[in-house]
Amino acid sequence: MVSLQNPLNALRRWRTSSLANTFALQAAFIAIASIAVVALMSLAVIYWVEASTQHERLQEKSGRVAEQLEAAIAVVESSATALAKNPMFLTALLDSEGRDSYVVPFLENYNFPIAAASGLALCDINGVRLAGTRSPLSVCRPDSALFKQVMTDGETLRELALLPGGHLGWTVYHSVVFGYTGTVEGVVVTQLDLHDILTSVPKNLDLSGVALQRGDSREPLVDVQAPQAGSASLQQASTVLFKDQPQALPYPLEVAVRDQLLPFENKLLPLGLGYGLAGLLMVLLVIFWARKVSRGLIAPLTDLTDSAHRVAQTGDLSIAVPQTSAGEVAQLAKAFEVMVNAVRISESSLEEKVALRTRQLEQSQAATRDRTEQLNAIFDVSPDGFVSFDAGLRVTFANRAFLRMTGTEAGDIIGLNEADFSSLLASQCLPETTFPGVAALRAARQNLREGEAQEPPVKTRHCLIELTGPGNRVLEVGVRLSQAENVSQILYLRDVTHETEVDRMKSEFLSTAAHELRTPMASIYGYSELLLMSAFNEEERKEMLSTIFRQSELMAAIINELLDLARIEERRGKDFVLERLSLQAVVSDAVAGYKLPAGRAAPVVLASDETLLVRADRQKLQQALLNVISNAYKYSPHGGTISLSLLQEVHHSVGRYGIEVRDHGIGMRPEELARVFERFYRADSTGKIPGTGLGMSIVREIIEIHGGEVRVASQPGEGTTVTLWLPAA
Amino acid sequence: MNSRRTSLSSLLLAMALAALSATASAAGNIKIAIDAEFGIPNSTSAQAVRHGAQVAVNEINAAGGVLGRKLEVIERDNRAVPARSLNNLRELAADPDVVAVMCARYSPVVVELLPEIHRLKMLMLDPWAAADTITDNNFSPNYVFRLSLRDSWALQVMMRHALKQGHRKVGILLPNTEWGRSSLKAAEETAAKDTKQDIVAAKWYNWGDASLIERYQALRAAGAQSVIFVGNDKEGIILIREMANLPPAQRLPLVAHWGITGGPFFEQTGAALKAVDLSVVQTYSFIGKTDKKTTSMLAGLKAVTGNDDPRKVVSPVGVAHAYDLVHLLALAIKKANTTDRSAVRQALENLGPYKGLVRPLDKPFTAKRHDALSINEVFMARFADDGAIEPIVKAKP
Repeated sequence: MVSLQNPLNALRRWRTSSLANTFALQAAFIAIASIAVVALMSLAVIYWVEASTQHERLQEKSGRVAEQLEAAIAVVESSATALAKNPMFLTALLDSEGRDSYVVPFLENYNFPIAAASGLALCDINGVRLAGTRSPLSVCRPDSALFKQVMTDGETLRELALLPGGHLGWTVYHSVVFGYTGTVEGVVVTQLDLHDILTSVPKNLDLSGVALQRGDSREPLVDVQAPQAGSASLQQASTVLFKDQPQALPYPLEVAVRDQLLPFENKLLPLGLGYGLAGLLMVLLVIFWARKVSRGLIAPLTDLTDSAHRVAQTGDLSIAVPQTSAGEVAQLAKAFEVMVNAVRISESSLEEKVALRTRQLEQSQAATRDRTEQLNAIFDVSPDGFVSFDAGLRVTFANRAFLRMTGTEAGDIIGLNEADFSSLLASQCLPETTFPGVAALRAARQNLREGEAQEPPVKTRHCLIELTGPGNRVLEVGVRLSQAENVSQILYLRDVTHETEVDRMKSEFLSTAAHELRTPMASIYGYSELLLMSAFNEEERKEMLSTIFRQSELMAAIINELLDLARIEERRGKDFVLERLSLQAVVSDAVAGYKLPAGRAAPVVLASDETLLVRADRQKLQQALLNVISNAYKYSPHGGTISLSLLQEVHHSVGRYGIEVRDHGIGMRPEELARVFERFYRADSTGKIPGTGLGMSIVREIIEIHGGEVRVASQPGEGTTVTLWLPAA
Repeated sequence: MNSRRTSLSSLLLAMALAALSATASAAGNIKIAIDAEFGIPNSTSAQAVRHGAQVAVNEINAAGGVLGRKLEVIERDNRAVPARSLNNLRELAADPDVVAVMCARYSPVVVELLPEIHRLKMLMLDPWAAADTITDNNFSPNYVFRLSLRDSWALQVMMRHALKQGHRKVGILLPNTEWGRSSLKAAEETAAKDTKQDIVAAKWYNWGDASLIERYQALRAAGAQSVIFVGNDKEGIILIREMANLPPAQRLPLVAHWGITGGPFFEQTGAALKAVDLSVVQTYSFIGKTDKKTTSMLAGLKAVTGNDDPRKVVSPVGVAHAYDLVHLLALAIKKANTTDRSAVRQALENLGPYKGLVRPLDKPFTAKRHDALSINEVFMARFADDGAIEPIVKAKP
């Protein structure tokens, strides 16, 4: 197969290299096919003629076999007839024992034309064999109807009898007539083994087989195969035996001869060689001629091909297309020219189209890039965390906020599947607020979307988790399902630590405020009940009422300050009337408006020559400064100078001005200092110093709304310094 | 089917015969069957035997029969064919009234029958057939009794006869049968032990041969001075006619066995016979007998055949032998006092003296000797001009 492939490929290449070769090859194929058809037809005719001739010969042979057989039978019969009349046989019939002593030598010398396997017997009227040839077939067959018939009417009769060994015998019964009396006194029974007779025939006539068969039913009776006859299919021809004297036979008989007819024997090779050589010569001539003719025909095509090659190699469309006189090739040249022109036009329009498409593509790519940049920036700067999952529910992206919130590296989570990711996140949560898992969130979301769940658990739709890491971040986690190709869902996490803290502080504040209000309320409630229940003297009553009054005053002050604080926080400076104020004026107005406690000296104002102008709400700034001054007097119960001074500095390259209030009071420990702006926190734990605990909160609110800063420095037992900084106007 | 039907019918026949014989045995005839060549045209041997037997039977019946029963002669034709004789024998053996079967001229028929005779235990009385093996048959007990010639005696006498004429070289012409073989054997023995003659050649012929002259000439060419001819009337007639046509110098003396006397030999040879020097062997002749036995026999023969001329008795040996044999059988039946064949056979071997026609017999048969005659009764004869067979020498020299 391999060895065949190479020449085949070479032939294919040769064929495809030129149209002339293709034509030549096709013509060769047609020639081969035609030669094959003619050869087959003539071979078939030769075969038929030869086969019928051979069959005729076979038929002749069958005739000859039949003749031989008839002749053999006839000779044997006539011999037997003569023997039946021979006095020797009559003598033997009338003789007693020992007849064979002269009959057998007589028969052996008689040249009886009969094969050794055949037999002749002289039989008496009882069918007892008296003498005969030395052969197993020398028997009388007394049971045959013919034997008895011969005894009765003396005619010669014949029958076909089955011999031992399956052979068929030709049996003839001759009567032996006693000359003295003219009566039949014995029978000569002659048996011819037809098989033996037929066996010698194939040798004579060079046949594969000879058979004897019934003429009516074709039932084979004797079948003789030549020893060299093969099992190949044999032809048969038959001839009717004893055509002229059918009465000699018990039933019609035929001789059939068989032989292997080989009409092409010894002829096929020369025939094949002749046809092959003639065919080869013819094919070569056809190839030569067809190639020559087709080359002439395709010369213009070759020119056209060269032109096309030049166009292809140089791209020069201005080439001159070769012209031929007429016919299909001329049409082809014309069409080629039209095509070159069309290509020429098409080429220019194609370039424009390409430029347009390129521009559109670049625009589209830029838009995509911008969008990507935006998204990246959004994701990067977003305080919320985002984690996206692909269609296989694996993590494909986590933004910086998420990494920051959870303290993980991108490499740790990219590629994790949903379950692993969920367990990683859950491991970072406090036990009481752990992460329920992405799948649970998605399920809740889907339930919600499909409206199946009547009361979806709120905590799974948007759940809150609290991380164990620094800062104890509280995150709100939700999931968003996506129909996009590469994103199946997006997990988003929002840092709600601050909101949570505010909520907590509000609750705490309410509780503290209520507690603070309840204390004076209890005094008022207790003294007013005492006054109503019992009779007191005037002094006592006065004392009690003054207490009630004081406590009411405190309550009012608390409520007023709370309202102040609430208003300030609520409005966030929107009701502030800002104006350019001189800090000197603010301080002097405050000192002048402050009602000094009994026995205390007015604060020392260390004024500055420079006018320090700030933009501030006069009234609020006054209120803040008064609170600070008030505290300075309250927390320096043992006296000491209260001093106010104006300061200026450059903070973060911005100039600002400050009002410093210094006392020499009891001062604060650092832990007290830390809580100084806490609402309702009071550094005085004795309760002797009156106050609501809201003053410093209000101060800081006001100053910070102005864009300023409150600074507190204190040493226990040495005093406290509070500085109110405001940006310079 | 056919054979079954045949066997069935033969069985029925046998049953019928048995029933018949059972009723007839008390008063039925004792049968003597003659199975012989009655059917051969012109043959006289079977008829001669029949006549002789009938004369004896008539005499015996006239004297009151045997064991109070009459004797009866029945005939069967075998045409000289052994197979037919065999069939006849079987049929006869089935009849208990048949005491014995008598044959005639053809030795091969009797020889062929021997095994069946002894298988069936049927008595065979031989008044003519001469083959030695008929009585020398090696069967024991032997059921065959002969009152006739033996080939050995015949050939001895014939050879001696030739010798008397000074012929030391003889040729012999024989039928290709048991008779011929038996005869050649006897001739050779005689030549070797007795006559010291030279048998120059033996030529065989077949029954039915149309010519014998070539064989005869071959014998003559071999140097034969006389020809010993063993044959029957048909071949004898052919030979005589052919010899008569030869130049006289070529006609050798012919010494013939007695077969030629069993047919119309004399009548058919006619003038030719006179041209040939022919002598024929015989055992008995009526001619010249004047004793009471012969006279009464011829009277009885006249009653049967219408002839009492001793010169005109046809096939005289057959007549005489059969006559004596029937008388011997009757004596044996009487002696055995039964018709049982084996008892009769036994009786035959132990008979006392019998004054027979051929010759007086002191002890006709013994257990070892089943031939009643001897070579002393054998003589040569010639055909007289009237056809009578005349002894050449006196029977008792």
